[in-house]
Amino acid sequence: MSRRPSFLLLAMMLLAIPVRPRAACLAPPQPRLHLPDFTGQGGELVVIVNPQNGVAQLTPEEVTNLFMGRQKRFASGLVALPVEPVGDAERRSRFYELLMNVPMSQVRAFWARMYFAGQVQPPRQAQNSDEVIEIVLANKGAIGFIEKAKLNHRVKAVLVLGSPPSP
Amino acid sequence: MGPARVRSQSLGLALTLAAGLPLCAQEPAPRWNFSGFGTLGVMATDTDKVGFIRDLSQPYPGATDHPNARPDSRLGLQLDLRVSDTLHGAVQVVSKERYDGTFKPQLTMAMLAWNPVSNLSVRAGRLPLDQLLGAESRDAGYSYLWVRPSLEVYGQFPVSQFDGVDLAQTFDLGGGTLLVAKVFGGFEQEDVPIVGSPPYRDSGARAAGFHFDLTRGPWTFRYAWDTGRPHHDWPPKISILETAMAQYAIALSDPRLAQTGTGLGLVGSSARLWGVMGAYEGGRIQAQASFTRFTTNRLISPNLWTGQASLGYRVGQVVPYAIYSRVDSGHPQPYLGVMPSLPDPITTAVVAGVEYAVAYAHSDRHTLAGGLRWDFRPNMDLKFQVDHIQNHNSLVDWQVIQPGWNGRANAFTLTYDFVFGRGR
Repeated sequence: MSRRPSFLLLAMMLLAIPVRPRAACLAPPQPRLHLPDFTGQGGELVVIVNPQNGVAQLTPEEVTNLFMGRQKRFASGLVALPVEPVGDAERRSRFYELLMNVPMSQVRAFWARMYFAGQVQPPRQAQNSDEVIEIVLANKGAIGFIEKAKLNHRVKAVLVLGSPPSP
Repeated sequence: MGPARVRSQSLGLALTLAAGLPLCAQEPAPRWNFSGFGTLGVMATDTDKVGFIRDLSQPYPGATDHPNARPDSRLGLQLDLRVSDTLHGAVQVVSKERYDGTFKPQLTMAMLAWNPVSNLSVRAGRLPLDQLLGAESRDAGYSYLWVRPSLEVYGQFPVSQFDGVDLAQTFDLGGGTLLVAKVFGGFEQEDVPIVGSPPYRDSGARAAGFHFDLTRGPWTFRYAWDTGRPHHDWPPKISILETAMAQYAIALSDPRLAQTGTGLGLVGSSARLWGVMGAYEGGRIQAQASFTRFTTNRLISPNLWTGQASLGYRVGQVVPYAIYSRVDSGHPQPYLGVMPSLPDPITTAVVAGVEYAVAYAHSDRHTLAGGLRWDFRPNMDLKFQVDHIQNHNSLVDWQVIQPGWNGRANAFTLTYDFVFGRGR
């Protein structure tokens, strides 16, 4: 009997561990202006959708839910098709660092858990930002991310991640 | 209607749905994907007096003080077909050590998943059983932090798939908070080896349940509940005891002896499980805690509770971690009336048999483990874990306990995990 309270105490302590504020652990609703550059690549990343997608803006939490497969549709009911540039490993890592504050290895482990349980399909893979834009243009429900320098009027930006270059 | 017939009908329904649905793809369809996962694991303990097993489905002799690659090594292959943006199918085969000591591949998933309307998912076929957090991918070592899911929690419930249907509805509570409500129902296949007896093989056990997931950012909380009804009884040796106790009840005019006998059987029994679980995966921290309660109305499958807490802290590509896990079934004793005082050898043998059968099902042990996970390359990791196990009164959680064992064991495990294909 003496072990039961000790286990419960341990579990309660674990749940009560002080962690970094949620806003720093996952994407905060406010624009991120002072996040460190995890990859040394610098610059902002822009989350883009097809212009015909009715959504005007997304929060980091909403983007996280769409890319992690927790939500398979936009609020309008449109089926979401997340796209990521796997040929650009640094940008891909930076995206998840900025969005969720987790390294790519942890994202891969998460996807393995979901995929091999038959729960969701990982994001569609593109080689680079140009291909991400092509897929977003060709699919009304597609959502991807590119560097801000690649942004053009043919796609719609719904979220900006990362800090702008220091003055 | 036999269970096998029901299973074949559910698969047939799923295939019919797939064939009859309009394809509304936004991208070229269909798309095939081939992927897989695997673990090469070697472990050894510091004692030759007990055989270590990963879960209750693993057979004699278990791992001892000689390096052993059988308990943790496994290979899984998966084929996915994305028919449209709302319909996909998947087939998965896994080779791992089975109840019979072979590595014969098992079909662990063969399902169709349909997303007909906003945030509703319907799946049918052979599906992963996902009541415990992460249990649905327990064979893919790359997907979790530890060397293996703990025997005290996950190993008590080795069934990892069922044939049937599940439905999941996601509710957006706003602010990025999601509530997922999932229900399932179907039939399980459970294969468990029993020391000194033919294995217990129960195909067609009914199972149904639900769980709620609350997800916000790095946090996940789950409440799960399910119930099951075995379809087959234990092997003949235990059934003989059940029959004998019924006869003693008549001969000694003691109806409670018949209840003891009934408590040794499984057919007609029901089991329930509920659990609360929480996980945090954000920044450098990976933490998980769970508490589950399992109840039955039979002596031979005693009530038990399980709990686990784990914490990992990332330093670069290395994550040191610690786990504490515990299972306790209590020590229910069979009612035997005046039988122990009867001098004849047959009664003595029946009493000993009943007492052993009930004691064999006890689970009471805890493990404190520490380890390291190193993601040394994309889609690959190396893990090293040391388990310090304290056995209080468990027989079923080991293979063969030799006389003179002090109830303690240390296990040392090194694993290499990998994934390839789309699941990476």
